[in-house]
Amino acid sequence: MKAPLSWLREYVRIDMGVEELASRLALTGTEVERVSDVGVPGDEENLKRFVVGKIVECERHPDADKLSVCTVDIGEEEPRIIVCGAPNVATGQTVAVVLPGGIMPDGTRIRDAKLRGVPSAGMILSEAELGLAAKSPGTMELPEDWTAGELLIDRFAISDKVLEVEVTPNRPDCLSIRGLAREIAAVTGVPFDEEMVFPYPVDARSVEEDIAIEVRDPDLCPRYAGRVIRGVTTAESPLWMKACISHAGMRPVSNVVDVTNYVLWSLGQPLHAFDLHTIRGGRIIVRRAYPGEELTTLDNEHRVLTDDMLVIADAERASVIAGVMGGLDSEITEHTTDILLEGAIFSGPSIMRTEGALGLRSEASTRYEKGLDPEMVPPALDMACRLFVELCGGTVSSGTVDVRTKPPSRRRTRLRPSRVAQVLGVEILRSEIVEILSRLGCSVDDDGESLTVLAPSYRGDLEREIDLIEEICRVHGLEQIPPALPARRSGRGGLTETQARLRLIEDQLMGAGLSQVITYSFRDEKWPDRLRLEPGDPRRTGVRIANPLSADQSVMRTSLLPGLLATAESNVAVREERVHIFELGRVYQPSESVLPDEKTFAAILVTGEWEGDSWLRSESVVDYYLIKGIVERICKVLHCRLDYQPAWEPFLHPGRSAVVCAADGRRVGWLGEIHPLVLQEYDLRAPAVAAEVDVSVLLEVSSGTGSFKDLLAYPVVEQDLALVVDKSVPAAAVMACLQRAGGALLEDVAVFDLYEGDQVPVGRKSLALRLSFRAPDRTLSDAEVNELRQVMVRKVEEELGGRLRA
Amino acid sequence: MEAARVRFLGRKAELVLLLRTISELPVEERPEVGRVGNLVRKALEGALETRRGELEDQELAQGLSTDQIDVSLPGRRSPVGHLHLVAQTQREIEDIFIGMGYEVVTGPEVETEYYNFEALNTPADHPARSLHDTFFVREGVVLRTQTSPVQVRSMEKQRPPVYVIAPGKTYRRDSDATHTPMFHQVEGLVVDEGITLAHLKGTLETFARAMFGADRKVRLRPHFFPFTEPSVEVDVSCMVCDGAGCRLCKRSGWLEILGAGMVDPNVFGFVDYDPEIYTGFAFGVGIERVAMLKHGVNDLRLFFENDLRFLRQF
Ligand SMILES: [Zn+2]
Repeated sequence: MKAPLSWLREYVRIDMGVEELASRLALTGTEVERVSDVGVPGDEENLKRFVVGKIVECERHPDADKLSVCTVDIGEEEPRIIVCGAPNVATGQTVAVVLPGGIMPDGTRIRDAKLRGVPSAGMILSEAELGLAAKSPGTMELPEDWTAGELLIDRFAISDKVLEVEVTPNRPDCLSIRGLAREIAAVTGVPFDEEMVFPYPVDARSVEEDIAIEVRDPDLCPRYAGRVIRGVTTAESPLWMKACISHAGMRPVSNVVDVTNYVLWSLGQPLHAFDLHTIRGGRIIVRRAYPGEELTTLDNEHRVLTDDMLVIADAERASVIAGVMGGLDSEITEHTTDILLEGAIFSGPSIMRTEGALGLRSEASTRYEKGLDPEMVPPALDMACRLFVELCGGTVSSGTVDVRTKPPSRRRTRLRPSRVAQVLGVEILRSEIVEILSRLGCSVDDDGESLTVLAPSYRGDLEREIDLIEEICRVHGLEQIPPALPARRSGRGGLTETQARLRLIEDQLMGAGLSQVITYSFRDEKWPDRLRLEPGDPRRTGVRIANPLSADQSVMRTSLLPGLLATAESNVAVREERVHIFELGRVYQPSESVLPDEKTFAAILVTGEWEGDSWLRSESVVDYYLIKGIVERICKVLHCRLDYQPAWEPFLHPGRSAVVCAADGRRVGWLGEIHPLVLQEYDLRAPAVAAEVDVSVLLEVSSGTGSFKDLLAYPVVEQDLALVVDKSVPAAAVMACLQRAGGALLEDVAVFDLYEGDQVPVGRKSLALRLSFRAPDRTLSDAEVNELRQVMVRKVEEELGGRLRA
Repeated sequence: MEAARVRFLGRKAELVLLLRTISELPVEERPEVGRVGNLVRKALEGALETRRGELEDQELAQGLSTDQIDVSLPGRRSPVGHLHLVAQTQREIEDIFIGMGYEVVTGPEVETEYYNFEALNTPADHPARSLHDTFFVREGVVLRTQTSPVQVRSMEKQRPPVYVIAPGKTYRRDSDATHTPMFHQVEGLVVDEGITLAHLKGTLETFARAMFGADRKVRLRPHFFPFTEPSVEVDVSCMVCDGAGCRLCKRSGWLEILGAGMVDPNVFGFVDYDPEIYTGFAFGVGIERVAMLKHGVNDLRLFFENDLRFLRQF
């Protein structure tokens, strides 16, 4: 909310500078977003140059049709000659004059000038030039009783500082100049005058002759009051009011409209003015809208209402969406003479639902939604009536129609000073506690043990002891709280084993040369098609978001791959062609229970040269074995063994991909080269490989930390072996067969060469294997090893049709 | 070398011939001649060996001196990966609190309204619970808007003392220059007997100094959150200008880093802790916010665009 400083000063003494005030407010809970200067620069020298002038004489400029040469009395011995371009300037006008040297709101400095040969010692101002109107047709005419030479600043705020404050939702009482002034008084320790008296003359005619009010939904409308003002004349508001309204960020419209806005800003109570003659049947009915009821609002939008919205209706139909926006039909116009003025309180949650449903918010509704003080209704009506009398020439019918459906309530709360210390960690004197609460408008009774606190009607948020402690804390000052550290008793901190191993996986993937990405957990609906998933693939069924921001972010992911592919796509598009990335994050699988299953997956994608573009021209291919190597690296550090078997994933190359299973057969994930059609779909020109594993399964099957084996006492005996088998026999099968035959003495089998060609028969391949033998208790003899080796070879011959390569 | 060896120690060398004919000498002279002869032979062999060593060294040195490469060319590429800045920052935050005795807890991202709002004292009509601000999966199930629900789940599982932090992804229905619909938070919770606002202040001061430097000052400003009371926003003195005022801190000298407060007694009601015995504090910090301040990142959206030119900088 914007609060001009001069307006605040009408309610509270402000002794400190505006910066200090802003900082004090910030440290006590009212954030000041900015302090801005409005109007002309506010230093004393400048303000002296803006004065009242009387036009003694006004003549046409000899050489310019559109200019006038004015003789202006500004209280000096001799009148000045000022050339003016405004069409309406005339002899006898009282005008605002800026003298040479004066600096305007936009920073331009006024100088002595010659206009078409005639010297001009100043400028006659328009409202637009002072920032009081967007544009103005001519000079601003001032009241005749203002005297020549008077400083404008003494008459209205041609210069001001505006505090833009952010009020937390629990403090709607601060959404007004008076409310904010009271807060300033409380936190700066100056007195505040609670009284509100706005006297005005009343007509003999009673308000009840004109209007009857019926509240049909008391739950949604705790109070509804109305006054009638007759015989108003629409005109422009006086300058002081225009200055207030425009400095507060609103737009001056006319005296009648400005009065309601002025009261809203002053006291925080929204008022609505109806043209009395548009109210059919002389009745106001506060009721829920009929389903499908229609209304055209002030913003010229046609709205269809529902029965959970409250409306203000007359005998025939709805004319206002209560607390949110008025209807076009009952709007006051320049021809309006008689007004029904509404001051009401509506239920906050209901207003908020209506705002949401209609996508409509107003200054009134943003206040109502937070809950307003019913006691503010009568003074707000009084203030407005007084202004209608003074500024619009209206007469106020006697009495108020005031329907109050909820009795006034002020909450009584017990406060234990010992509890204050228990929560804040600092002792605050009982006398200071009482003093702070009183400044905030509370009445406090002390029975010697605890305090009984009666909160003011405008502080609906002070319901419990802790609410009072919060108030004491902020006014006492958070800077007064001494920092301390808790004594961490009985326990310890740290990562769980799973958390530590997730970090290990991240570290290993990073160490392998991959960069971590974090993509959105929600994706578009089309990714399963782009990845060629089959119609029945469970990954097609994701958790859907009911209210996504866009279709691109409407379904929770069931795989990390689409995010990685999209990342590759966008990087390649900006010529970052070496995309070596991984993501560690959750996928969301719909389940039978209330919440989906969230599983942590790790996925890797590599496209673009792996080792390339070095001057050394070392070559490294992005292929199945590259991605498998990275997966194996993870397995090694996690001490787990996985099986790789050919399998069909629609987005992978059918001959160069595998599913990964744990020893117990559980599926861990997949890896392989990306299918050419998918590459095309994502505009990837270079081959790409990827893998995805379910980390939770991986961690379950990993054996944790390694356990010690003595590899130092007895040496390993290594022997090489070349076996020729059919091409279709997987290397893993050969190795498993050797392992079974080799038993405990065979420590390891590793492939070190693969040969297919002239040296072996067609349809066969030769695998070169290195066998490592070791016994835990002795050095193995050559004879022992050779014997074992023969057994192993025989086994491969028998089981896999292999033979020793000559 | 070889010529010298043949001449002095070869089969036809004088010394060798002499030693070979030693049997022809008178018996009494033989030992003496043999001894001297062998000495001479050893000396000759030694001299030859020394010389050979010298020549070999020379040859090696000469060979090495001609084998020169351009040492300024880059080395063979050893792949360098990067942790995402959010992940790095999350670890840093976690480690600071682990050092203060906290456990790290996690929970579901798709969460019930009960845990995300209700049990955190956020009433049904609170604006945060609207379709406008929160992603809904269906009635009663949302994408969590904070990691605080994990704290409630933690309190349900254990009795005080509770010292936990809950890092993770959170979601809000907001997307513009300063908001992304997904972001990361670390929320912390301490509940025990005798926990006060002073402890909250000391804890956050310790955190801010560990994260942003030992000279940082911390200030608390009152604020409003549904699940804490009193609630505060926490500022740290600007690390660029040290409080003097600069562009980063918008001339204020302070940077807002987190929200915090004393756990509202109502929240304890939901988990059956007695608020007369136990008090606690909670805080929440945006990981991206911390990373941006610490590393001078000027656009939140960079974190999720995953442009490698960004990722590789950290
Ligand atoms: Zn700064």
